[in-house]
Amino acid sequence: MPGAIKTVLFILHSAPYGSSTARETLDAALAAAAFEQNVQLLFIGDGVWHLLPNQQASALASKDTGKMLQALGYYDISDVFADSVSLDERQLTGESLAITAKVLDKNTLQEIVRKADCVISL
Amino acid sequence: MTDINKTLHTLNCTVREYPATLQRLLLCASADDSLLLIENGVYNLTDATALAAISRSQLKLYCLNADLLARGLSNMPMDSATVVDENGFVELACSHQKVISWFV
Repeated sequence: MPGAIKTVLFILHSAPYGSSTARETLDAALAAAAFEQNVQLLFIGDGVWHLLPNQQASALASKDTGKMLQALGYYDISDVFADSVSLDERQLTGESLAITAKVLDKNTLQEIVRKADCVISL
Repeated sequence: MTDINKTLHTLNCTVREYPATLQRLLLCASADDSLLLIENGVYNLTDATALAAISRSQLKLYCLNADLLARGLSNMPMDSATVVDENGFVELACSHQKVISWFV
């Protein structure tokens, strides 16, 4: 169906800077949003490190994924989710994150995955 | 075998080498979803811990025959998984609402 809008859930599971996986996932998510798809982001595992505030990517002469996250609103991406267990394991709390994210328990997380038309985990 | 609201998950790596990949899959999968082991993922059939975790999550387990044959695993007892060929892979993909690839 050309022109159909789909809900596309992108899973970010890698820590920033150590590899390009998360950057590429974010690039793909922003591209999908630019094509007017309904984009959702889910941070799990080491991916939740993206949500830590005060990152200074300039120290590595690296592109700041935090800045990309700040720009999500311009792409109409408001469904940003984080796995509660992954946050707990890393002593992060929902209130201390760099951007607003809905913290999900396991059942809600599985429901989000079930409801998405398409799920991408790079 | 139409599982139209269900998801087919494919896993292409061993849990021994990449434990976090199965962990993510099991976090996101719902009971009664299906899991197809492909490529090095078929080695997980020799991993009792991985099989127990998959079984606890109530996933239907499948594995791809060509990958078993290639790795010399085709004679192992296959009580926990259903072996499928490429046509079976296509049938699984078509009978589920979507496919999520958990690849490394």
